Parts: sequence; structure tokens; C-alpha cells
Amino acid sequence: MTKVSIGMGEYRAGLAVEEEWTIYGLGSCVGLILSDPERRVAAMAHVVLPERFPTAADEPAKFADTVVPFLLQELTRLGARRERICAQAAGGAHMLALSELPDIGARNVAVIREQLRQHGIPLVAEQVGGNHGRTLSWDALRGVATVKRAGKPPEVLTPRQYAYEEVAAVGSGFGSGRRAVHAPAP
Amino acid sequence: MEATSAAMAAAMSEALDHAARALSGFLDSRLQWTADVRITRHRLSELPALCGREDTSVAAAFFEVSGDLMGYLLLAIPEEPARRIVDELLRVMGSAADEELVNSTIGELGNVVGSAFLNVLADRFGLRVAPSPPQVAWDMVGALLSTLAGALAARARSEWPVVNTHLKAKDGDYPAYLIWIPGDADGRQWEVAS
Repeated sequence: MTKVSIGMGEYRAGLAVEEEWTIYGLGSCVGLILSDPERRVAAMAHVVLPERFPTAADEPAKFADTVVPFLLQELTRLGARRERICAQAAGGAHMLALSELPDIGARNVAVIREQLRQHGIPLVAEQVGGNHGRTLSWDALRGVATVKRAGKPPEVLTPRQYAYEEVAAVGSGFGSGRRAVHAPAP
Repeated sequence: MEATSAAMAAAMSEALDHAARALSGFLDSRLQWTADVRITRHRLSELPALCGREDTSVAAAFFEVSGDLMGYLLLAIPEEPARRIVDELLRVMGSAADEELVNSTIGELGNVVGSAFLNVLADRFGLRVAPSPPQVAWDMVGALLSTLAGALAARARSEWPVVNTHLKAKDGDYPAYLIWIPGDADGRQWEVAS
């Protein structure tokens, strides 16, 4: 399994391959995964800020208000069917109190949720908020996301019915409800 | 670093040496620390890996500095040596290590090191320096640094000067990192001050 690290503002998209994509040490940033479990196509982005500012470089994966349409475009290009795409997210923590800056983590999460809603993409799992860091990994072959916190064992984020193997076994990955894992507020 | 004057670099080295000595003194000189100083300009996306692997668990004391000198100061010690240091300090004090006391000890360690660092800069340049109380966290160092990077990215700059110090104890495996990120990416406050 090839391990691929996704840095701040970066993204990766692809079909099921023997790769593990990882965002290490998410604090206020959000790791966003969009996938079509039937077509086994996925994309993962390391979102840093809620809104793109006018002078920003062309980095659509970096901003919560541009990442969703950008990843949808990438997934569609790779053969995903729009109506089958679902989302998973982790991060958006309140790690440090910075007096002159707002809570970027909460704003990142809020904007991503709103963007997903606007584009009709269900958020099937999330582990966001709190005041602790997270490492988010995506097994691109099996379609399973895991979240790791300091001093804790890894937790599977992806609901079983959205994992690639499960979708292949039952024929359809959709139909059951959303599973959300919320960390307690700081 | 283009905007760094020789005076600033010299002052930083002196301040960090002072911080290393303060750390040695705080630990009753059982460990003699030295400071390996690097003053560099980084892309913000590089900040999370400043102390090695982003998912390394650390004990950290963080300060937001205001006044004439603005910026962020982070002391990060990998978790295992941090626990050894705390155990050693609390044994000297004859205290039981509950979570509050452990965090308070890390905060005090940060106070000692941070004050030593900032005092030299304040004295050298005649600046008023006002650090916040320490914020203590036991977490992934990359999560702390990426949060700072995110906050800095909100100022629409992609690169930032960073003073990155690896503090090493001569007679033990006690690595520590002291990172200073000025609030002013252009270093103008330094040029004016020096």
C-alpha cells in the first residue's frame, strides 16, 4: 500500500488503487472526502480556510467555499455519478485561543456543511470540533476512512454501508441514515 | 531570511541561548541544554512539519505575544520526555501528579523558557512585550502548528519568517522545540527596532 501525504491546501483524486491518503495533524483545518462507493472513485482535500480571499492563488482545495464544486468536478471527470457521491469530514478543532482571529475550525466546518447542502451531497460521517488534533486517512482501495487522535486507537469513520467492499456485497451503498460522530465542544 | 537583519539574528541567538540556560536552571542544572537556532522563511504549508512528523504527540505551551513585539511562541516537547521532565520536577516538589498539576508544570516550564527568550529581545531593543498566559496542550504537534499556519494564512500571505530552535540536552534524550513566529511577516518591527 503506497502512502500519500496530503499537505495544507492540497488534494488527491483517483479510482480504487492500493494507496492510503493521509492528512497528518489536522487542527483547525478540515479533511474532506467525497466518494462514489459504487464507482470506487474518491477525492480528499486538506481545507485550510473558510473563504477564498481575492488575492489568493488558484488553490480551490484550500478554501471551504470553493472545495466542494471543485472536487465534484474532479470526481465527475473520473467517472463518478453525481447522485451517488457522499461526503465524510474530520477536523475543524479549536486548538488554540487566538485573540485577534475567529474560530477558524468552526467556520471551516460550517462553510463545508453549507456547501455540501447547496450541492445536494449527503455528509454521511463526520468527526469535527472539539479541541484536539486528528489524523485522517483514506484507504483508496477499500473506501474506508479512519481517524486517529493522539494517544487513542484509530477509529473507522466510514459507515459500513458506504465502504467499497460493503457496497459491492449488497449491490447498493445507499439507503440508511447518516452517522455523525461529534466531539464535545471545548 | 531576506528581511532578517544581522542584529535580529544575533538577538535571537542570544535570546534562545538565554532560554536554554533558563531551562537548565529550572531543571536544577541536571541537564544542560543547548540551542540549535535556525531562522528561515517558510511556506505556510511547511509549518506543520517544523518539528518532524506532524502526528508526534507533544506537550506544548503556547503564548500569544502582544505589545511592541507581536507574534506566537510555542514550546513543544515530545510526550515521553515531557512526562519524564514533569515527573522529575514534581518529585522534587514532593507532589502527586494529577492532570491539573501536570499541565500547570508544563505551563510553568513554558513561562520560564518563554520569558527568558522574550526578555532578552525586550531588553535589547527596548520593546514592551506582553505574552498571554500559557495555553497548554497535549496533542499532535502538527495540529498545533497547522492551526497557527491557518491563522496566518487568513492574512493572505503564503510565506512567513520562523525562528525554529531545537533545544537539546547534552546528557539525555530530552529534545524540545521553541518556535517563534513574528506577527509581522515583513519583519518591519525588527527593522525599526534595530
